[in-house]
Amino acid sequence: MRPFRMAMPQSVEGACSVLKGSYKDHRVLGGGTDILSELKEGTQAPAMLVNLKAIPGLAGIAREARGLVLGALATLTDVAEHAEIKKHWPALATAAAHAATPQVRNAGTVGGNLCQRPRCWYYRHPEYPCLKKGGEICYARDGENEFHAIFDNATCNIIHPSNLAPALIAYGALVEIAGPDGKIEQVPVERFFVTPEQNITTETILEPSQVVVRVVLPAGSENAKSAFFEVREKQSYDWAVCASTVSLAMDGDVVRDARIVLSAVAPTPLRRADLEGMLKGQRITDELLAKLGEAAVAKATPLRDNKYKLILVKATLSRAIRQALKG
Amino acid sequence: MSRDDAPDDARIRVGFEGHFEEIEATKISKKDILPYQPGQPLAVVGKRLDRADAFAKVTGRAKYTYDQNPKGLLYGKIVRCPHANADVKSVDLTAARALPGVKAVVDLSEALRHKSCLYAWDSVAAVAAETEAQAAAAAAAVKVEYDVLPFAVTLDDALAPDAPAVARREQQNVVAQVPRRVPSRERWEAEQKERLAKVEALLAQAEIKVEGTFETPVQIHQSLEPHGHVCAWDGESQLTVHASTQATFAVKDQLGANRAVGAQAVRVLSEYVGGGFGSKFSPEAEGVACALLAKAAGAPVKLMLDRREESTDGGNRPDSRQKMTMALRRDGTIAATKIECWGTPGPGSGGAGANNNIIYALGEVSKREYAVRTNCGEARAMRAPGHPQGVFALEAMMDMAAEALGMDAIELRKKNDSHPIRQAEYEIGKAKIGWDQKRQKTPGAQAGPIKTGVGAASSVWYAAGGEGATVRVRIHKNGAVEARNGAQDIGTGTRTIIGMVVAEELGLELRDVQTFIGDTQDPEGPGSGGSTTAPTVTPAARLAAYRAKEQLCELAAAKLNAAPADLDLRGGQVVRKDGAALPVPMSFKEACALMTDDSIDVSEKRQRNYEGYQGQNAGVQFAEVEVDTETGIVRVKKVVAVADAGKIMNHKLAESQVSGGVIQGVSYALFERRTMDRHKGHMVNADLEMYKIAGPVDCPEIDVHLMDVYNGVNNTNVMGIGEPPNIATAAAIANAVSNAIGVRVKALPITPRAVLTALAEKEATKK
Repeated sequence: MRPFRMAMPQSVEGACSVLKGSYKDHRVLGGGTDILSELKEGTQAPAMLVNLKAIPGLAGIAREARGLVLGALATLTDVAEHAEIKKHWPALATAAAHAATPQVRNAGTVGGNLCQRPRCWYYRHPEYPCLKKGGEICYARDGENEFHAIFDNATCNIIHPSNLAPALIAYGALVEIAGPDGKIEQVPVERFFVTPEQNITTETILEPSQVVVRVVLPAGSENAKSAFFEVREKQSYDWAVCASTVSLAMDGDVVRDARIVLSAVAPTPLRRADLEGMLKGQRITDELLAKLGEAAVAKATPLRDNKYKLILVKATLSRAIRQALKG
Repeated sequence: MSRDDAPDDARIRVGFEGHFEEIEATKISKKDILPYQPGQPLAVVGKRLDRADAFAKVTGRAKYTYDQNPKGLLYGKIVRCPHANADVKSVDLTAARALPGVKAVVDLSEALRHKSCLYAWDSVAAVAAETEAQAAAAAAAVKVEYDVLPFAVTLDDALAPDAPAVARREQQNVVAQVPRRVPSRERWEAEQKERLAKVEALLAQAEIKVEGTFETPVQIHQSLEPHGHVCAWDGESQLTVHASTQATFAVKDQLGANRAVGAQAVRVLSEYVGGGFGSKFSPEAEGVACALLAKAAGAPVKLMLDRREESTDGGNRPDSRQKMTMALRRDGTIAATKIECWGTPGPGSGGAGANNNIIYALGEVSKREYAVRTNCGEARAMRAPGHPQGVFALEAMMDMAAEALGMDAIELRKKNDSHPIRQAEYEIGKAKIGWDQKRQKTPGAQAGPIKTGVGAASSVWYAAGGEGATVRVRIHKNGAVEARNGAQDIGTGTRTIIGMVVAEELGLELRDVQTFIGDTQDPEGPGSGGSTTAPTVTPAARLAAYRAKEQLCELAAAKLNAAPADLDLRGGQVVRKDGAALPVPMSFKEACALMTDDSIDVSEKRQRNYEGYQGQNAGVQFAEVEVDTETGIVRVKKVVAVADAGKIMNHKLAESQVSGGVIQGVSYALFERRTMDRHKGHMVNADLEMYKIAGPVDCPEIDVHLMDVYNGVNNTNVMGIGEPPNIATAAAIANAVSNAIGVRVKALPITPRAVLTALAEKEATKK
């Protein structure tokens, strides 16, 4: 690990101004569960870490008129155990509860979960100068790719690892971003992520001088029927190999509105408006779910070792919808 | 009773509950004592006791190798080859030497006697500096020029007709395995040909024939404490080494024999070890590097591997491809078995076999085995080497045969298994898992996506131990008792059971005996391999304690006007063997106070094994699983492990051993595999995140049933139990999965991908 300095700003403005300062390679430190492993592996070697922990008001979860507000430093445990979230936003509570291990959930934060870097084993290995690290090729494309992307993978084959993001997108959540000019920008979580084609070196729209300060679950989003269903190899501490998150607004047994997000299958969490359209105005039947599943994978471009994910997209999608209706 | 006190035709009772028999005690050394007998009251041995060092371990007071921080300590780091196959052209250490804090930089090619790197992350040079960061910077500054060569990192790559040469000097990638000590290779080959012809003929006329090809992945030991040493020199000749090892004396011998290291005296200490599983029998490159660095720097050096190094260069269980064909008669007996198997030991040429012709009477057997070199880290012994992989294939074949015969899978096993203990274990396991109720008659036919099933598999092991240990027992004048042996405790409880055996003999409690282990200045002890530490060490401990007791009873007898042979020690008191009261009571401590010397000090050697009851551990495991056929997720609900290891010294420790074996087996069945990259030949999952190991939620309910066997091969009756419970688990789980879903997954691990692919293939053949 390369030696680094650490700044402990007392305010968001302070953090942004440090980030904008003369340090050309700086990284934000929240819970540290991701950045510390990158420092140890040498995939990141910043000269300075900007620790947000001393900034008041970034932790915790609060009810406000505009909705439920999650501080960027709220931990995954805070989210998983929050009574209101468990009751009204169950997909989010489940997604948080299933992430990583109790220790990681106690340290890992909402902001960090959205900003974490990919788990691709080529990206994480110091001997592989992949596209994300300024190299020439994606080693996963024809390399060892059983855990990689089956959608939007023409350039880079990472899957976005966030568990919270798909649930937040399904509920129409907004992320609040602070910049050095003191302004707070509000962006739907759905538009927070960028594809490798848009920017290969990062996964989000964040500028180097910006930090995530809050996430807002808008008022009204709690009325949906929702669920998160993931498949992973291990039940203790593992990453999803495929997950579906749905949020349904129902008129009796007819779907009025729907949001569907597939994750662990593409470089970003994938909201699928085409699938949502197939549900609107319909009753959920086995036939409809079967058709939905086929449509979900129709444009997939699986690699040599991850074709099984096609089956999992169908299975998780139909399980999530069934579970949402039951819940 | 001492053997020399016993008549020459002494008889001992051996066997297990319901199956005891009396045999003549043959081959017992005149110096030894007779074993514990069934029904003999024991106060300490056989009890459920906490491990002696439990408190030290959970409070962090136990000091592992990593915890050693002598004054002036430097940190060592190995310079590793980034290529999967390369020759070292030159090593330039100048830039590294000039960096701040750097105290030593050494080229390892001479000490390790190699100039070729046959796998990525092989050792080239090493550095030592004042901080870890300085050491890492110095390692990066060592300039190495390589001739980079093409590589093969998988079995198929290395087997391909146009495969690059993995090793040098025209060594072939594929090495046919021939038993050691074959007088004539030609004659042996001719015999194999004949045997194969015989087997082929039997297969051709088989009443029932089953066949399959089975594969198992490379598994990594992944001990929690990685390999590492702390080396310090006293002058130029005396080397003291703290090592995370399962063989203190082998580390001493090997470092002592290394000319580049050049030590005249080596002392190895290993008070606590964070796991070994077969990967820590030698100082390896990192131990040699650590000793050289400490010498060059003139200061103590700590060199521990990080997780990536541990995964790539810390040993592994080789993979396997096993092609088996079996001919059976309609009555369920096996007429013939043909086996061909391949395994990758890394760049080496052996030790990658699969033990798939064991346990059952397999009729006429033809077996050919090939080691296939790859440019991967070297395989090392791993918890029952060859057995989990072999038993996975063998037990799949047994289930497939039972299905083809329309016979119960356990009945078929019993019919072909002659081991009396396993015969009993089948029935115990069946009852505990609920075999008759839970075994699916039509696998895969349950309604809904969730299918359940049960499966079974057996094991055999050979943990009787033997000579190769000396234990020293000292009874001090103040009544303090110490037991000393230089071997290590890799977590199995060696420290505890040495103390228990000595306490038993001296009529004391475990806490009254201080046990010192893990120091080569104490008497010799074995490497902890083959599950032989307990059976090798405890008989010597018992014998030494017995002889010390004789001396103490002699002192007491003089004082009490009794015959020494009439006295014994029990409950902290000197007692009469016939139960009569002593004229004056005398405690153990009062007897000790009679000493005129400083202490009674006895060292006794482990005597040779007797001709007792069984030289083998049996063992049967049953697994119950739930498989989600839509997601491919397998949950192991329960494992019943029926295990035996001679007389059980401490049920709590033995159960813990069995549970550990089962958990590692669950992990092997469902999750673990090394993944090698085809572009550059690195292991891409060399961490504990993507190298997946079962966690708490993945662990099944484990029902351990221990048989208490009076084995009669040594004076404590004990056999080891480290390896046997790891053998059958994966095979039992695979059989249970097959019983649940009606499709056989023939390769480990049984991941969602594997299950879904197998189900899809079955669906496709239906259409």
